Amino acid sequence: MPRPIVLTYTVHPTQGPQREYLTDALTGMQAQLPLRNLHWKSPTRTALRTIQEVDVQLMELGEVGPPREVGGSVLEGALVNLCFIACDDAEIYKNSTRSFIRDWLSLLSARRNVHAPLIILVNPPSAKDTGKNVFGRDKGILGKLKSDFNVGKRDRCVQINLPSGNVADPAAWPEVINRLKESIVSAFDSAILEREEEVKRGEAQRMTVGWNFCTWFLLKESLAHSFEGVNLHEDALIVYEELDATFLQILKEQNLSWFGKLGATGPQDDSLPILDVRAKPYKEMLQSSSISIFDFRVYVFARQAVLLGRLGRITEVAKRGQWFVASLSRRLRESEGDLAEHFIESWTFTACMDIVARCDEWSRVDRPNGDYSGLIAYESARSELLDIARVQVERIGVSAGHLPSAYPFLAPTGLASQSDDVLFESSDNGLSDDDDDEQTGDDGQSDRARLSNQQLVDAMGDVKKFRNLYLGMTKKAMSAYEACGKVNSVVRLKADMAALALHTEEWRTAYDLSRALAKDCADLLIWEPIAKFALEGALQAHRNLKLAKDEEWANIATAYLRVRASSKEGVSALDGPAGQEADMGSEIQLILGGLKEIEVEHTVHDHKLFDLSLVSNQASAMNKDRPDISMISMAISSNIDEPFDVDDIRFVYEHATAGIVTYNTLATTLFPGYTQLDLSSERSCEGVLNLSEAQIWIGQTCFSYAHLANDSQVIARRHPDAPSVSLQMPRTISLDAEPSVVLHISAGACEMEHVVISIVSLHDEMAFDVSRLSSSNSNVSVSDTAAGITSLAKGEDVELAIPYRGTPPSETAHARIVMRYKRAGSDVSMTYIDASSVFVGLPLTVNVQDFFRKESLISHFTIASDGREYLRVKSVDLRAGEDSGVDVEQAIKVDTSTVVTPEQHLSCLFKIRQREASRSKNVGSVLRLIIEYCNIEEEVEARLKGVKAVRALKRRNRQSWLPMYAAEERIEGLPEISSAETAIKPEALPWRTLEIPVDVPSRRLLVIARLAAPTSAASEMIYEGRALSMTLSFRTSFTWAGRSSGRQRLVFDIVPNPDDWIVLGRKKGFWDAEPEKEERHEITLIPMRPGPLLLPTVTTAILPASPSDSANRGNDEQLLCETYLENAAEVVRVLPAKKTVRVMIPLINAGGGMVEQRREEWGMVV
Amino acid sequence: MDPRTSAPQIPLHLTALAILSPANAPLYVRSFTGEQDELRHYHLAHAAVDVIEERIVMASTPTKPADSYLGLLFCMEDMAFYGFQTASKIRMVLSVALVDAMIKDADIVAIFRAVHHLLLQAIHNPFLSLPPSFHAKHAVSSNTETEHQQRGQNVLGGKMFGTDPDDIRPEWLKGSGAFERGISKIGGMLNGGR
Repeated sequence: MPRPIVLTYTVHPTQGPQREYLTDALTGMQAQLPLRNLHWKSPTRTALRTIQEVDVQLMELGEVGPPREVGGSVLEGALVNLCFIACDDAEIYKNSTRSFIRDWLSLLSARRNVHAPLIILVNPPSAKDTGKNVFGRDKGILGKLKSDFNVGKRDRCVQINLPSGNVADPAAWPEVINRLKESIVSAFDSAILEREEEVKRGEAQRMTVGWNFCTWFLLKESLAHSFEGVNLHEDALIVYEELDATFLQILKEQNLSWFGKLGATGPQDDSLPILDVRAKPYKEMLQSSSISIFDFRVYVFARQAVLLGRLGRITEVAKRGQWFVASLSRRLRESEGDLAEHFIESWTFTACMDIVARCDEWSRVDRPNGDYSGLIAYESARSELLDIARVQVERIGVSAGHLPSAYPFLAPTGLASQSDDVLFESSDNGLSDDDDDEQTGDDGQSDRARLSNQQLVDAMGDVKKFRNLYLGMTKKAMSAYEACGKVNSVVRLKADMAALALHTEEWRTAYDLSRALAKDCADLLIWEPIAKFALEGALQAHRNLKLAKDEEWANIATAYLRVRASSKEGVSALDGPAGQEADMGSEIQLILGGLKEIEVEHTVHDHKLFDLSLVSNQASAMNKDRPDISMISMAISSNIDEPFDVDDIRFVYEHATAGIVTYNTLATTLFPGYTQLDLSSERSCEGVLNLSEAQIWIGQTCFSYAHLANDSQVIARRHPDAPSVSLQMPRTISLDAEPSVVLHISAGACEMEHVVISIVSLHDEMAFDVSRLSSSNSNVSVSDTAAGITSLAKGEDVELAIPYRGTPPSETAHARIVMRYKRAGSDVSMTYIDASSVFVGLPLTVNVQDFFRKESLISHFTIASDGREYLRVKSVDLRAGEDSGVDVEQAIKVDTSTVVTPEQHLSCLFKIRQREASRSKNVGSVLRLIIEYCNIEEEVEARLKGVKAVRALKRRNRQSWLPMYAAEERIEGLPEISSAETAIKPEALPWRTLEIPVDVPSRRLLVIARLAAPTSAASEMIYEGRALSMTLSFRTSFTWAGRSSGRQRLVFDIVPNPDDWIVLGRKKGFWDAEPEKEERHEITLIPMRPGPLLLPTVTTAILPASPSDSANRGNDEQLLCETYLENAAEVVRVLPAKKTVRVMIPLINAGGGMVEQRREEWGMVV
Repeated sequence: MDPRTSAPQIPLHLTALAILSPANAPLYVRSFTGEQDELRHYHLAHAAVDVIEERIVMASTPTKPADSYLGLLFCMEDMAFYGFQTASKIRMVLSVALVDAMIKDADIVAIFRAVHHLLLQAIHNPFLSLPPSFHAKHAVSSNTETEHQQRGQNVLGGKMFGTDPDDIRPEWLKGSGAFERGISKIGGMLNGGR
């Protein structure tokens, strides 16, 4: 702590009763100390400085000698001299007191010291207030004092009225104390001004020869001391900063002749606390200009640090300390040869530890203004200092051989060896480049000075001590780092710890540390070479501990592989010579061997060890011999420099209907780099496969990849020779039979055994009844849900007809077909999965129109396409069974060239006759219309035979080729279709048969109507608008009524086209029909327009029996009336009506002749 | 560059440069004193991140974010570490061999700016962000059908031309000749005047 400000006092008189008051006054003043809140307004400084508190020492004038030295603080001399006088009598004052004061003042001025005198008049407590006179001047002795001793405006005199009770009563003292403060400040100010002038003068002479930096330094430093003395630490600090800057400036200017040497060669230099300004007699060394640069800088820094510490700016101490230690050690390194071995390390260590120790001390000290905010930042700087110290230990350890000279202990090269900016060539001696010496612990330097830091010396000598020290330091630094959350910084220390444990073969510790480090590396995204180091350490420790290879080990192992894979081409400090590389190789082999041993299943996602990609996005058959095995070609890049075995490579795909499809390969060896492999699948499906996962198995460890480098989709196609199952419509469809579909199983080029097929409809509306399937093949067995086939030879086809219920939406049935089988002589179970669909509707429509005649029935069948399909019709036949009692004649023969298109339908006429014998019992006899047809598309496929061509054709728009093929049997762009080889061979075409049951109509009462003019003379003209009498005759036939006789009342109705005919008079009528009995009715028709007119239509209907006639009712209800007009094809030629013509007839005869003419004319018109 | 001719300038000697992603993953580490020091330099640069973050928290206020240049971070092992954070939060740590003199911040900032400029130029390459599976295709293909199929493939990941600061890959910088050359040049220029 600085010395207090010295104040002198003198008392007068020294005897007599007043002496007592003076002693009281002194005591009272002492009680007011120390002084607080002094305000210094310096003309050279902008801001008002406030001295919070200053310690003051009152001394008898005689005890204080003159200032001892030049460079001392301005406070060393007495700043203020006090003169306590007690005098209450003007006479005594005039006689003795005044002269005493004059003597005192002259004595003071003789001391040549900046000072301020202050005369204090002490009034006894009993004295009455003197007050002031009318002019505002003090009366009495004080007034006299002032008039005698005040110089200029400065008031050097003050009085104190001693309080009657306690002399230390603060209420009595303010005036005196304030005057005292003023005096101190003014004296201090003038002293500083004077000193600053001196410093300036000294600095101005800097360039002159013989200028001594040390002397000037001391002078300037005295300012700092002065400021410090009055607790103005900031100002003191500024002085030191200026000094430091000047020093560096001079350093740059190479003006250092007054410094003999760099220094730092003292016996204790490396272990002396650097923050202790009294560690060495710095002041004396400065005074004698014998200080070395090292000592000088240490001193300056220590002073700054002390001041900063007082100010509570500990963080700054630590930060500046860092820079100071580093830059000074940098300077020392330039002349390392002169220093003790490891001096720099030792000194740095000591300095850092000292700074930390001192700062810790200061951080615990109460702050003057309660501001503790910088402590967190200090923690950070502190941790760095500890780390620096730790690194020094590490370096010493490396050079002493206690630590291996390898990562992470390897000291940086290149830095120490350079000697740029050398200032001290004399001290350099070319020995600065002894970095190697340091590391190898060169014995040639044994004559050097010795280290004095016992801790380090011990550590160098003893491995155990060293390790304890190193571990202790590291842990300390780690906890310091962790305390301020510097997680990234800790990593390096952790690496060191792990490395040390590995080096000392403390495997358990090494294992734990390495694992923790590896985890940190992963968390903090740390560079991979470090992760590699950590993982390698962990693996090595694990091996040495002979621990079981558990999941944790697997994690480490896979992480190591990952690092190895990604650092393949990266250069790292760890990759040493070839021998080390070989170690790496065996390390990998060990890991891979371990992975195989491990029993826990373990999945690693997106490991960098492998890069997977597809060579082709088409899955194809394996080869010609195994067309049923689907295969994909993939490429795998192993990112490790070692060949190794994998147990399985699996690509798991998802398929819309087949579900999971897995492609895999058997155990294989992966060589470094790119390998192309084929994966095969026992599951056969077709369509798009979406990758769900790619897996590579090593033992129980699975390297899983969700994405490949390129496509994740594969398009699977079956080989044409592969077994196939398809859903088809049966060749023969009978509309009256149960609907069924045919499952067509083709063995292709495979010999299959133990085939099990199941089929499931994908529609709710439709269900397959597998249990009732039928097949022509005897090998087929049936269970409730599946069909089994014992064996299928090469090229064998089996068709299974499976009945179904329900109708699928839009008549297309979708079904999932699963076929499991084994190939002959193989145990591998193969699965064939497909979704097949078939159109269960008919591609054609058949309409029938019946024309009943008395003896026969003419059926007109119209066969039309469903609007989409093109069909080739081979034959249309209406067959009657032997016992059906009818004979059928076909009117139009159909041959294979007949094609039904959406635009063109096919008509077929059949004449059905009832046999005489069965005329009465033929009711309900059934005929079958059998159509043999072939879909043109199927025909083309059959003709093409090659799958490729069919696929190409299917990709084309069918409308672009179908109509043309239907017409000309050729397809543009497909010359094969018209070649002789594929010419239509009717027997080779996939003919289909459609059987439609046709009922022979029964219960038809046939009415044969005839409408005839009464006169058969054709020459008679029929004119438009002239009524025509006609005879409507009915005959009734019971041929189709299922009975030959009976009476039936019928009604008829003439329904003319109103444009053609008007029925005049009777339009409807009824009669009782009897077989072979003709019924005639006369009707009148008027033709409405000229031209050939068809006869009007006549409809008949059965007159419902009267309610009373209930006996016949049941029978009659079913009877339908079919009517046809026998002469419907006849045409009535109608002539246009004659126009009215006015004719002039000469009257030859009077009367009768004229009338005759008229009548004739009229009759013609009507 | 002779230090004596250009006195009183103190020659700077770059020892290492590290570029770290916003998540502090290393993007680029370059040791100018030799490859064997790379790990050590990386360790220290990584540790500097702690100080950078500390510095940012202290220096920034809600209204005024911290400057890009973060100043001297710490001194360790004869090196002074300086920090810089770009607007996209890419961190750069530069270490300079200590000299027993003041190092001007302006000099360090100039180095940082130069490195930043190189970095920007390097990552502006639009082809960098293409996935490794992306291969050039022949412009004229004999088989029009397959060409059509290939054109339909979309690039995996859909991060084409994505250059978030977090997307920058270390390979981009290592693989960029211009960047490497530029850094070497800076290192060569500032190798302490040797």
